[in-house]
Amino acid sequence: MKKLLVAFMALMALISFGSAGGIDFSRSYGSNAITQTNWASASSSWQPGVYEQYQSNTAIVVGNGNDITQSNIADATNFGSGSIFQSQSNLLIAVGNGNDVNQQNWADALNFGGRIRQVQENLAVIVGSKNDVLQANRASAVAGRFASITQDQSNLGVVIGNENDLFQSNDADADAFGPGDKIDQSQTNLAVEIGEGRRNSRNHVSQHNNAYADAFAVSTVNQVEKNLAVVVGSHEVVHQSNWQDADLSDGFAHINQNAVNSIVAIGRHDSSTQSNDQDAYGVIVDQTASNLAVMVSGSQQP
Amino acid sequence: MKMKIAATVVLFLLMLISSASAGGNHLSQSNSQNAFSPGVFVSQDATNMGIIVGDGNTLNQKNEQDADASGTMSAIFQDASNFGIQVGNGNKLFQTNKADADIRNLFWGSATAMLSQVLIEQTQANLGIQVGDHNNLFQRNDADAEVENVAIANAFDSLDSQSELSTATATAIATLRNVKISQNQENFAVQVGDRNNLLQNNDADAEVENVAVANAGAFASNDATQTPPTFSNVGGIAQDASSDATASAAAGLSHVAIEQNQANLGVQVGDRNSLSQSNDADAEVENVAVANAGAFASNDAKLDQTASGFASNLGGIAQDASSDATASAVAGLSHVAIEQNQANLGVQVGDRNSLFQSNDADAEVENVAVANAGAFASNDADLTQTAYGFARNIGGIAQGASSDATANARSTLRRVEIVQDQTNLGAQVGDRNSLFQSNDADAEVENAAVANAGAIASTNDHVSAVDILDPKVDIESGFATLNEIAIKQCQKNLAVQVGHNFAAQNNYADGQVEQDLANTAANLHRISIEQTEVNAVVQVGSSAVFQNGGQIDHPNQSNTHIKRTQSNTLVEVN
Repeated sequence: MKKLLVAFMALMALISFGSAGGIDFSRSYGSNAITQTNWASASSSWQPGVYEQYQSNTAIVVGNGNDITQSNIADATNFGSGSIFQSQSNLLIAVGNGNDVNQQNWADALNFGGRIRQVQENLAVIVGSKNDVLQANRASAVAGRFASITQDQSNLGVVIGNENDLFQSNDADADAFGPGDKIDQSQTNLAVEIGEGRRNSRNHVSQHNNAYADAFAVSTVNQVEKNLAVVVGSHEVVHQSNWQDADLSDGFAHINQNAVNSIVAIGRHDSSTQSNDQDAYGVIVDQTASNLAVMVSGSQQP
Repeated sequence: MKMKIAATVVLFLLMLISSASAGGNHLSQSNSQNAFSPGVFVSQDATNMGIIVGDGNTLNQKNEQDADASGTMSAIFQDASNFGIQVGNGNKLFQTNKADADIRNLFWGSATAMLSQVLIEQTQANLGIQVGDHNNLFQRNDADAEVENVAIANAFDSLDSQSELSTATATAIATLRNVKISQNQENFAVQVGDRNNLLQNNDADAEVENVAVANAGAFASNDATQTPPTFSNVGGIAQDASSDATASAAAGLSHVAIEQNQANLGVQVGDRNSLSQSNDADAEVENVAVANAGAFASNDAKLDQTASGFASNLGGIAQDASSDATASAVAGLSHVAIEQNQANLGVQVGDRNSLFQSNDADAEVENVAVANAGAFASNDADLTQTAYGFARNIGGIAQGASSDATANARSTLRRVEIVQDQTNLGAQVGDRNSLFQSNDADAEVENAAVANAGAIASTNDHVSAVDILDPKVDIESGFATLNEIAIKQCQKNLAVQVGHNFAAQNNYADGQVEQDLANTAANLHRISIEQTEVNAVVQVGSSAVFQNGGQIDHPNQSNTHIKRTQSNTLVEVN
């Protein structure tokens, strides 16, 4: 009878562990609104120049129900020939429940000749439940003749807890209108979500990459998109999509498109969608698309 | 002690329920690729890989590829594959590949169309592994390749003259070195467990149509009218009217090749499993290396004089009218080859299993190396004089009218070859299993190396006086050379059964050659049709077997060599 009681207590403890999060942030540490914004604008009428714009936000937040916004906005216009370099990054560590996190980078560059390089990064580590996390990068570049456009975008999100939403997106738009132009677009989303307990962690992950390139005359376009998600828990939902479009006005271009989606999911009742969509018009077109997924769950109830 | 055991059982049961509240994962993977190239090549590569461990899971894998290319050397490469592994019960796995490649409307409409090479290569593969009971696995490959309206030259010249000279010349040249379509499809699946279903299907369609086609048309018309003034004709009046039309078309193509390879491999271990494997291949080559030339020359000359006076026609009246039409068409094609290979391999170990295997191949070659030439010359000469006076016709009246029409057509085709190879191999170990195997092959060659030539010359003259000359000349020549038509059809069904089983095997082959060589002089060296059918069953245990073979040939030419082999073999041990 004594052993039976011990066993029953162990069972109750197991159920208790499996039905709730392991960290208790039920007490309120204050509902704050935190906003970090950088804005930069540069313009040149006729003279050639070099423009470098660096923007970064860093925050560490502990508490529940916070509204956290990190954004960078950069705008550069060069009517002469020169180079534009834009670097934007957001870093956040948040511990608590019910936080609303918004990380965004906006970059816009216009260069009549020369080089454009845009680098955008978001990094967020969230511990807690019922958090909404948005990570978005948007880059737009227009270049004239004999120019090169490089756009690198990446999001990294780590979320530990239940009922969290993580949305990651990269949007890149490049237009090159001169002969001999080159466009390189690289987009990456990386997400790790770990639910607590054995049931109903119900985390959502959405990862989207969109790249558009428009070039004229003889040009080279490289588009690389990657999504990687690692989720642990039950009732997890993962959506991954890559969209690539290279539309060369006269078709005399070399186009390389590469898209990869990867998922590792451990738990039951998980649902995952992976899709790649590629569209190209060029003399030489090389398209590669792949989806990889590993999902592991227990055996079914008899 | 009993309480201890009871408590342990309850604890284990509760833990099992806690940990096993259904897997039920869902995974959807898709790739969509769309490309257009006006130049060199398009390469598309799509891959899905999914691994799911648990019960009640669904895995959907799909690749869709669409490519269009046009250029002096166009090539499309499409590669798609799905790889899926499921471990657990009640799982579903769907794997599909769909590819579409088109090379169309390339060098269409100009007088000279010269291309180097056109290539389409499609590769599709599915690999599925399921371990557990009540699983379903569906694998399908669908490939469509088309080369249409490529290297087409059109030339047309027309002159409708009111003067005394009308000339029209049209020359069309269409050449293309190589056209090749290659399609490879494979399905591979392994299922271990009971009550599993496996469906494997390959579907390939390849078409080469309206390639290396030259059309030339020349139309010359002369409507010359001369009405001299009404007074005495002292110095003489002459009319010289001619109409010349020349059309030439040349179409050259070195090689046309279609290769289709399809294979299904399925292995099932367990009871009450179902396995279905099918291949369907369709290849067509139509209107390839075609030259058409047409020349039309028309002359409508009219000389009308009314003269009066002392010497109303002292200088004489002369009319000379001629029409010449020349049409020449030359078509050359070296080699047309269609090769279709289909194979199914099924292995089942267990009781109450069913296995269905079928292959269906259709190959058609129609209107290749065709030359048509037509020439029509028409002359309508009219000479009229009305004279009043003392010496009304001293100088004389002369009319010369002639029509020449010449048409030449030459077509050359070295070899047409169709090879169809179909194989079913099934092995079943256990009782109450059923096995169905069938092969169906259809090959047709129609109107290969055809030359048609037609020439018509007509003269219609009208004159009021002497010296009439109206020669008409029609020359037409058509000659077609075809070295060899070869059709090889090989069908094999092989079944190995151990236990109390049922087997049915069927082969059907149709080889057809039709030549329409009207109005031509043909030099056809050889037609050969080789058909081989084999049914073989090895059974251990009581069983029922049905074996059937059918072969049909339709050659309509002499110098035909037909080799047919049919065999049914049964080895049975009770």
